[in-house]
Amino acid sequence: MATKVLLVSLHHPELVRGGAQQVCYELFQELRQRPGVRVCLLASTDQSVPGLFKAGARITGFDGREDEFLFLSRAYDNWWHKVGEPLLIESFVEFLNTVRPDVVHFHHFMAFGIDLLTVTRRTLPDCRIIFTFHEFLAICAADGHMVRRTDQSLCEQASQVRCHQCFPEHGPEKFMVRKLWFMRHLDHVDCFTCPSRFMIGHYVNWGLPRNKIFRVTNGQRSYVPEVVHKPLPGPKNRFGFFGQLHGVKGVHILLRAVQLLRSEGFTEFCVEINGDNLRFATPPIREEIETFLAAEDSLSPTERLVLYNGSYHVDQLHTRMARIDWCIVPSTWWEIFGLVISEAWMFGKPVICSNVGGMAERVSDEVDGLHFEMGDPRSLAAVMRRACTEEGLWQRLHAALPQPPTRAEMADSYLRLYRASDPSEDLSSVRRVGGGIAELNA
Amino acid sequence: MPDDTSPAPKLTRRDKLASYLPGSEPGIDDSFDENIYIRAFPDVARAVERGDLASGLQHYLLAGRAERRLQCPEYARQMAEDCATVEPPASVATEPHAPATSIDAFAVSDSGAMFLVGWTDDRHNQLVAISAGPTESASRDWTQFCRLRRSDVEAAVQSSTPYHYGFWVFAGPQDRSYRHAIDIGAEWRIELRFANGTMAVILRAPVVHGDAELRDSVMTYFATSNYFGNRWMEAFDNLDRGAGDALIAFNRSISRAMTAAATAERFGPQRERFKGSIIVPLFGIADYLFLQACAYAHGPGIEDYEFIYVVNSPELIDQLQREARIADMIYGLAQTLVFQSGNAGFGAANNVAVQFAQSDRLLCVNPDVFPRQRNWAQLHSDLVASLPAQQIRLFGSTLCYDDGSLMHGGMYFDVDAGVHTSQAGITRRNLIRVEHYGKGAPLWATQFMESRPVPAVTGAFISAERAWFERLGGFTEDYVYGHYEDADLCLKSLQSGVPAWLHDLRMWHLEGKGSQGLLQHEGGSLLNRWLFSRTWEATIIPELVGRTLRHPLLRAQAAERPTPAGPAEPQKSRTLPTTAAAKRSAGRPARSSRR
Repeated sequence: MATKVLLVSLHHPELVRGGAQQVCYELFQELRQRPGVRVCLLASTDQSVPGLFKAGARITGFDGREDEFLFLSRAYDNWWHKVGEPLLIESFVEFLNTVRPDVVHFHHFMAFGIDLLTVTRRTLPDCRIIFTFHEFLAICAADGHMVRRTDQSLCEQASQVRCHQCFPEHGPEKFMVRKLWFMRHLDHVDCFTCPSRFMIGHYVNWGLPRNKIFRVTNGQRSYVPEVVHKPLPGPKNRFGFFGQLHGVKGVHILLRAVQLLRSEGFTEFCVEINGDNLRFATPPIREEIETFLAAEDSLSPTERLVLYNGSYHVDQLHTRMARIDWCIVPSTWWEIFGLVISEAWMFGKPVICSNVGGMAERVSDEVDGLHFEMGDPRSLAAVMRRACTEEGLWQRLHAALPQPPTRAEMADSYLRLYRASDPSEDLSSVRRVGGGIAELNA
Repeated sequence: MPDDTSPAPKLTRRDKLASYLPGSEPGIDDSFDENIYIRAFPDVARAVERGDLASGLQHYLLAGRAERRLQCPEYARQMAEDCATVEPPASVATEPHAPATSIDAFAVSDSGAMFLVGWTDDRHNQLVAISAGPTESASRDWTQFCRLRRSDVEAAVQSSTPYHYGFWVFAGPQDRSYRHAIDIGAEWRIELRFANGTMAVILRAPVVHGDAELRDSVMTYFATSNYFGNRWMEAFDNLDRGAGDALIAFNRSISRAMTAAATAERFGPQRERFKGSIIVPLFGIADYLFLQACAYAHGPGIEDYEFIYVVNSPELIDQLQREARIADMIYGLAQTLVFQSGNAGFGAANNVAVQFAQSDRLLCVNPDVFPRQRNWAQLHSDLVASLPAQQIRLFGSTLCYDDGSLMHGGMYFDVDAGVHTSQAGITRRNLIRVEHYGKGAPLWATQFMESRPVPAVTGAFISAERAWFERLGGFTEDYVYGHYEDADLCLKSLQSGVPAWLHDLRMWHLEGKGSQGLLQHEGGSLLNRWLFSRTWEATIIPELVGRTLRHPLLRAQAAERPTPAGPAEPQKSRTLPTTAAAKRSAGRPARSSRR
């Protein structure tokens, strides 16, 4: 009998670009091709796409696509992460009873509500509930970034007092209750997964049981076209940024590095910015980026160093990647996994990234990429200059680029979790690496 | 007769005092003046000019009050300069030489309760009587007044001798149909008579409010009143003059009207009988319904309990109904929502909830109390089933702060002795203070954690045999809003031969976060302390004062345990004067009102 899997996604990637929904959708597409698996996707949407909301409906189909559904979220409490509309809960319960999945795999709780884990358990007592973390939202009320609001430093550990320091308007006791609220619901999860080791450490420190968390790297299909042009000879001085333009992605750090290089008289390079959602940046960051790009646009083509290419679809990646030699990931937060790193490797582009979190875990400094000091434009500028001028550097790093994980490998790992009644016993081939972290894939 | 309410607003602060009536900003000191504030503080003036602030008042509310700007020398200087050119208002009198007098606020409620605020410079010609009403035959009369400081008048008069120029009076309701008799907008006659026979007459149309609104206004004004001398002593002296009893009676009539019309809606699986009914009054914060449902639901034995949420905030009813439906779907708990038309207060709300309880055991729990142990319901049930009757008839629990330390290991009483001075002489009185055993102590301090009889337990968590609770008359409904009902209940129980016990169920308690705290609640707490002290002083002093158990019944029950009695008392050498109030109340049982 086929294993029925329900994937729960924050947004549909067709509607809102983002890493978590991209990964979930890749898994959905892969599982659809697997024999013995029947998969459904339930993706949230909100009032930003009002045309999709149908009177009296709470869950609908999507765009005529088979087995893809939309959860029309509303009345969402962004502090406690729950919906306040009983009919939505009722519809979700009805949906569960209709689909009757053997596995419910949550890739997020936002827009659905963390309490849907409990109602899932109550509705389907025997189903396996899997939860994949894509950020730290359960731990950290500051958008799940674990970046301290007090000084923008990376936060190593949450506590009632430390969280109160970031949110002085909320007393420490409120964070105690917040953790209690999340923990009670997460208790119903059979297995957690994280795409990176350091992330597992954070969640274990927070209080999740180590033996319930597994590392499963995020996989993607290849976007490399059949015909691939060889890299052009000559200096490797073309840099690219791919992603959303809000503060923690660090575009402003890159632009400041460009300004520094320009002021030093070094202009033999170019930078292409690919992405959107600048509207989600904080006002000061947004103003800085807009001011820089406006000034850049006013320069003559020969003087311009930065080009803003706007948003892109994954199918356009190969053309955008073909225009660059290096991919820069200047994030100012932990960056859990960085799908863009996989995408850069797909196209043979070494990555220059901040020296923290998922970036530092994936990119080995001086082996297959280069690190710079997070948040430091001078450090980034020095690395960019070196990247442009050091003979043989690019070639050496390019030759050592790992193969990005495929979505087939990702699906294989998840299917093992879906089907194991007790992963710690049945998954005998699970490797325990440093810190007791269970690896489901290499 | 011309009205005497036209003098310079800088002096009377009429508009600001009127702000104590509903709909305006609570907590504004009566010496605050927008113009003076802006002139005294150039930084505020610049911020207003730049548009960073809407007004000086906004600055005061956001920061100036915390910074105590009204106590700064710059403010006093500016006020003195401002008032120096102002003539004290002349009162209109039927005879000459009546003292300068003004009425700053005048309100009447639907049922005829009346609240009058003003000031008079009667240093040399005492105010002896006030009457107010639509006609001479329908007037209310007072010969005792609550007096308080008025720093605005002090600045104008520029006397160095401390004197309470301000006054307020309150009279309780007449009847429910009173509102229909009020001619809205018509001026009432207010007469103030002085010792030398002079009289000031002021014509003023009262502002009409609902009963609860007027109660809240009076409590807010009471909370923010200033005095020379000890604030507690002076406030209590005012309450002694009739205002206290009148306010208590008024509040009781309001609560009874609210609870008389209470209705309920049930959610989730219902049984004929549960092992316990968890009663939670909600005020101002709806989130606790789903937070508690989540925290309490995940544990064995919870299916034997029902939750009864008493809604003291009607504006939350719609949201709470939705949350209860959601909680039913997610947690499957038995829940009941009890609706009332307003804030009936802690005691009355709990008492009305008992009407809807489907068990023989009542657990009165604050919304900000959460279980530390998943199996707390099982622990509670086991405790009730296994311990001797005297230990479980009425008991509380150890409660912890969010930081992990102890918040409550039982309650004991202590006494603050003070004096009130007046032209009549010096009066001494005792104020009872309620304290927690072990507040802030580590949880390994077993002397605070172990099961034992205690003078009282906090109402944040009380488990009581329903029959006993009802025999005690439930919570006394004389207390306004909340505070002291728990200690009152425990003393009623002790007086009836059953001391409260403490058991270690170890719950979280986010003390003070369970409801929306408003200024009127501070006024209520002040009034309640007065009431509690008056009611129980003779019982508490001396056998129930201090940490050490001296009461024979407490000692006897403590001795029956296998473990030693409670913590030792540090030696104090202090005699507690017996006040006239204590002598009057000696032997008088606590007033309780059966809901």
